[in-house]
Amino acid sequence: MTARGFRLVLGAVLVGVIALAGLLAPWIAPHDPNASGAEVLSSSTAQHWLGTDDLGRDVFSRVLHGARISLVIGPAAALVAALIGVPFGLLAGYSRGRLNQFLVQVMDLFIALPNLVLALIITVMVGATLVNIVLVLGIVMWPEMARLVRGQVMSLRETLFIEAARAIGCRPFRVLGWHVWPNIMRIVAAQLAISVSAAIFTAASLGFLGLGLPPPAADWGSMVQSGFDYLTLNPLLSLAPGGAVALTVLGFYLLGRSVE
Amino acid sequence: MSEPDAPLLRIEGLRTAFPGARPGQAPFAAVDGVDLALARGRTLGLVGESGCGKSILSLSIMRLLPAPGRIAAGRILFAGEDLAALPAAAMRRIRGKRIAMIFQEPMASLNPLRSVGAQIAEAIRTHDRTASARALRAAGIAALRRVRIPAPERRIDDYAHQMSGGMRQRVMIAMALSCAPDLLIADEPTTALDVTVQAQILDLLQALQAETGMAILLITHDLGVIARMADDVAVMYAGRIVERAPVASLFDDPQHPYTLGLLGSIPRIEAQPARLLAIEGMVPPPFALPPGCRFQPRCVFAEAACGAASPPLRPIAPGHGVACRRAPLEEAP
Repeated sequence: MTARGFRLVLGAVLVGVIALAGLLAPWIAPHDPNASGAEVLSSSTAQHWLGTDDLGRDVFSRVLHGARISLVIGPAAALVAALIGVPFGLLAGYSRGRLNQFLVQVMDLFIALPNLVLALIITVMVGATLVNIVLVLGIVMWPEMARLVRGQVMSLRETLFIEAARAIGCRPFRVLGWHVWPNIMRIVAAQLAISVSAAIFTAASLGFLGLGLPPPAADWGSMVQSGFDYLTLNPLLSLAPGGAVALTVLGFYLLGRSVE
Repeated sequence: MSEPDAPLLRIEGLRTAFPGARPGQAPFAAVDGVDLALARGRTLGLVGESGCGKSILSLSIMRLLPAPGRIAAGRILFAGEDLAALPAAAMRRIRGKRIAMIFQEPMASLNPLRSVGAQIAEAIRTHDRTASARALRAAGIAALRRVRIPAPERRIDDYAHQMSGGMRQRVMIAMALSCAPDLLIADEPTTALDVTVQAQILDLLQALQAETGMAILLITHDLGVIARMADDVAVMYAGRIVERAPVASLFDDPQHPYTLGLLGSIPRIEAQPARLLAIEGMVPPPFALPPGCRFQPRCVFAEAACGAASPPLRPIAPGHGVACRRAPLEEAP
């Protein structure tokens, strides 16, 4: 199998399994993810496959339910990033002169700021709700999308069929929408998948730093963090949600790379 | 402005300049003081080596110059309007509608992700917003039929990669002619094609010109194409026109040493086997022009006086102008 085919299959399998887990969580989870039990901080047993946390909640059920949150935040944030980044990149790639300089400088400004720090600051200011986290992640991630699109447009701009389109009197926006966009759609789709993985990773980081969805939501990042204090009693408390993040991020990343 | 026999296109003193590579460097002119005229229904051939400015001249007419090039001086009168001074929106309405262009590389001139029918429709719709989808499709099929593409009803849904080079150039011509332009600029339309296909495309262009009465500005370095297609010829060298003549006079009585050189470098079947005459050296880049006559460093007839002043384009016979000190030449011995 080619490296590309391997990435595609492995990525699709990972994303498929996690998506199924998230979709079916209410039915396949053995326990209510938010219900406390008598057994606190038990290690893996027949009843609690991955043990229980400090409040006696079943870790396996919580990890399954956590997939739902990640699978909403990741794609939604990537979509926000694309909705800002793609038009911005199209314009920055096609324009010349002052407008181009201005757009590129705005882009560089955002790229220069570290994503996580920026996301932290904004989240602290606006509060950690699902919608806010999606918007914040979209806002910190759009410049990467814009930069990619800009590069693609700049090379397409010089091709003969774009010149031919201008020679028939096409308006700039028409050239971008009708001629350029279909030629970069594939690459944007790939970047979209990679953005999803980056968004899930950053969301988990926010959760770990205490800025995830407020309790009792089964946020993977927050779960890693709360399990941190009990690593010696039940390491799975942190490792299970951490592994879930890693596999989800890997799955979307592989999907994205397989398109390139 | 519209005298009865005013040419469709008249270029006066056109100078297209690019700023120097470094700040403070003087701008250089890729096209430097060109005068041309082209009447309806006629074909003007523009000949010259690579880098002589012929493509920049055609892009100046279309106002599609690569940045940061710009028209620095002169007028481009098209049907009485000065294209060089037209606002961008008005120029867009002329592009494609009244002046169309076909390019050297039909392989790369079509969008790979749109069907040829969609691209022809796009060319029409750009200038006619009211056209219905059905009308556009019918117009597309008619356009393909006009350029002699067999089974146009099927080919209209094809993509560029399903077509040969000659077919694609036909599609480009169909696109260019879909709005019935008054002027077609053909920039090396056959250079990338096989010889047999070249002949078909040239025949097609001639037939379509006879049908529509459009004028053609034919840019090429192939004198065979010129002899076949053009009514008048302008020979361009280093941004200037060095000789301009009706096609017969140019081939019978070439005056400029550069024209002689171009003609001398064509192999002839009937000639005695001998070395082909090649012109030594290369076209000087526009930022390093020699003083005086621009051809003088490569000219076998150059004298000291040639380096002193640049010779103007002087008429030596009706319709025949030459920019050379030695012209008119005596009959060749």
